[in-house]
Amino acid sequence: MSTPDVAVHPSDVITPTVKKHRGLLEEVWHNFRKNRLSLTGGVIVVMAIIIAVFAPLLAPYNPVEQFSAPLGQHHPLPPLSRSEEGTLFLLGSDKFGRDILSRAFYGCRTLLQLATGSITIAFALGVLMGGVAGYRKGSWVDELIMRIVDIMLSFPSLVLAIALVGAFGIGRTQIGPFSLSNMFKIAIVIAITYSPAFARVMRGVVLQETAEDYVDAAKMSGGSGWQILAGEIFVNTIPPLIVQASLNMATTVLTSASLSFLGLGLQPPRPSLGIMLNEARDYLFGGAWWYALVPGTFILLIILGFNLLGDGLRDSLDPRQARRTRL
Amino acid sequence: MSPGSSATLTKDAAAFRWEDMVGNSRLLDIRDLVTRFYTEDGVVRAVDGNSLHLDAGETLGIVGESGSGKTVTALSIMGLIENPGRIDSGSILFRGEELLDKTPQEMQEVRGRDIAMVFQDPMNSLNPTLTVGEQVDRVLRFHTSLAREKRKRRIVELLQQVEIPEPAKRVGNYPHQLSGGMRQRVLIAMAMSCNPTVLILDEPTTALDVTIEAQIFELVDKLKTHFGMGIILITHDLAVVANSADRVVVMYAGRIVEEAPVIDLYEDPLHPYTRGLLNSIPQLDQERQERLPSIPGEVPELITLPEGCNFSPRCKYAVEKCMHDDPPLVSVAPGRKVACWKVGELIE
Repeated sequence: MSTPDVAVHPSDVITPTVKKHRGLLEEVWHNFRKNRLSLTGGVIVVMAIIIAVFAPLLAPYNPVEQFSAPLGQHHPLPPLSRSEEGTLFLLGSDKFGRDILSRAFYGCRTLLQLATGSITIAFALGVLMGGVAGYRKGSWVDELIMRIVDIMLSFPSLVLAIALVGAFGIGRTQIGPFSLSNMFKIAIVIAITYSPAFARVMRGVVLQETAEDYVDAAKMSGGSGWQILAGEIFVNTIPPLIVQASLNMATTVLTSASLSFLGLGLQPPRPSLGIMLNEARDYLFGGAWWYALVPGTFILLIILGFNLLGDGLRDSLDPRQARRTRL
Repeated sequence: MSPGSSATLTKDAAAFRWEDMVGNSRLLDIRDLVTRFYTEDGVVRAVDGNSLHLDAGETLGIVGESGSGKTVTALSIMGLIENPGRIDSGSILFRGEELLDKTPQEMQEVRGRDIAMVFQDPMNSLNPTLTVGEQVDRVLRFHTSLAREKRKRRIVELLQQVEIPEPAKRVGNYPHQLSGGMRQRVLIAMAMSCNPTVLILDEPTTALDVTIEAQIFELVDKLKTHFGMGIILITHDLAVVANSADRVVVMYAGRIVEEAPVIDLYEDPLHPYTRGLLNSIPQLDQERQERLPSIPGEVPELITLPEGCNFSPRCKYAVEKCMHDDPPLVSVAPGRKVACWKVGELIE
């Protein structure tokens, strides 16, 4: 007899008659695991995070240290070449004689710092705005917040970010006792441009949830508006917000890199993938293919990773939604 | 007074309760309540000048079809009428205090502490992402300043009170892990958490099957006798009212058409609408009829109510006067009130 065409996993066979109940996280993981593509995205993201966190250990050299080119040659040197001092440039050197691999690792670190920082701030801002607007639907507060959101959304996010950087400046700013670093300011600028997306999602979910009976039940038992919004509704809005955050992560990474590329983000000599790309522009047609390829590939992979992860999270957090989008 | 003994109440004993025992046992006294919804299509007269009262230790049944104003009456008491609705006039006295004069903050404190309400759909009235314990805890946090440990003990005690087996374990369960009956018990536990004086049950068993329904009402009766609260039971199910209520108010299109002790209502319904309702219930002990009698016509839209008595277009006793003048709710016997011009002929 031939093997049955349905593959039976050993764990399925041992499963007792009563189906084991899965917790929420287990359920999400179970759904997520089945999707190869999003798993790949997850692996890429995890690797990027490892590189970012352990950049000082992983990078072969100091990202700002300049090495001399051997006699008769000049920077940028191609991959696997050696400097005058004898150090090996695994992925080549840049025009100042710095190790591209080390700079890319550190660039990965600054990029993820910037992106996660701005997503966190955007999340908080958007949740607050959308939550209040949704809960006070139809009131002037709702109108005011949502019109501001509309205005912000009418600009392409990069254009808005450039305008905001223009207004805030890129240097360090002293506000009272607080000293805002260049990176923190850039993070706030990006957060402001992305908060409307969160506000929209949050408002929509809050509207949906306030129509649920449990919100009425909470009112019946004497909860105030804030208590109900923060204690009852918020927990139910988390899944769509996580999806929004992970999908926006990709675009935030792009905006962060773009700002640096334009010279409006992180400032040299700080290692940044955007700045590296900008510097590589002059050598694009000069045969130094590795110069732009390395930071470009890093940015590409990080964005791809977050996109795949976001899609996978959406599918596994809300299976109904997934089926709808696949149809 | 237990509900079992209410079944053996004579008319006179019942009359004694409603008419003479008023005094400090009166929990709710609603007078001429008018709640309207100002929609784009017109004014919906959801509750149209109704008066009713509730005493401690009694169960008042409010019966009527969907849209007859039962739930709006309850929401008016809770102070939860939202735009475009408005309480236009009337008075709701809770132990002598005017609820309509209270600020939203004051009403928030009353809700859940003094007056609690259990919703009709136990499937959706619990927050799916919070455990049972957290949800009961929430009500305690709204209204008390008990320490965490004390609240924990109180939660288990409450779940025990509503006869949930293994309450200490159930505290950590999510709503989807409980059956419909269990969820309704949890909701009752939440409503009972601050020992309210008035408990409003809005179609508490509509979503449950008959056996569970019986259990829930048994529990509610136990709690009532134990804590002496007044219960308002809103339902469209006459059988439920017959078993659990002491006194019944029948609503039709936003108005109270009849008020009577439960036995009187079933033995001798006066209003033509009540008669129609009771006739349309299949009787097990009677010969099978060709067809159950039904009330002809449809419930009027609350926006375009007929002139005169709301029931007149469907009423077989209706005369010219019914088409033009509203019948007032008049007392016809101790504890009995009817709003019908033809009541004299109907009484006999």
